[in-house]
Amino acid sequence: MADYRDHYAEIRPAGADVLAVSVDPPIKSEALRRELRLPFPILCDTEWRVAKDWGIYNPNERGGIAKPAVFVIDRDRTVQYSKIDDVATRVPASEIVRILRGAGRREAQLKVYIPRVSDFFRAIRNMIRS
Amino acid sequence: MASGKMPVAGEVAPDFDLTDSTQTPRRLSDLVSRDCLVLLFYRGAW
Repeated sequence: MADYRDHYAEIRPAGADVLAVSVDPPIKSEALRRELRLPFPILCDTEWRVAKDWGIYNPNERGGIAKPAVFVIDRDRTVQYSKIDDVATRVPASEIVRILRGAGRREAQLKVYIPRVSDFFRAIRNMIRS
Repeated sequence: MASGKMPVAGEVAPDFDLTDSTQTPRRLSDLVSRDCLVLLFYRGAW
């Protein structure tokens, strides 16, 4: 969440807004929002309605929670990107910024990794060192 | 309620109404006012 706060200044000019959702009650969410100084709202899915509807409900943990997930949707609510995290890893905000800027979006759809020139030189450097 | 399937790229995500942390009612479709909306589902501290 703090990662997305820190990248908010890049996300906004890329034409997007941010919204957080959890199953926490409002009082807890508001405390977190203030503590982390989040510039975006937190919605409270206290009855797991959305988590269930969106297929990310996890009933096996702490009486039912939403699995950590990131979605990018457009105006028509068409999903441009979705990633669920079953492990503790998070999609870094920088990756979302890249997707929003378009280059990453095409990459994600094609599932092709195109190395950058800098990656190429780094690989060569590592080869020489080893 | 039966659990839905996670919407993937190209599919339309279900709309919803929820209150935010300040108890203000919010509707997802009203919140997508810009080109894109990034939705972060997090575990929560509950």
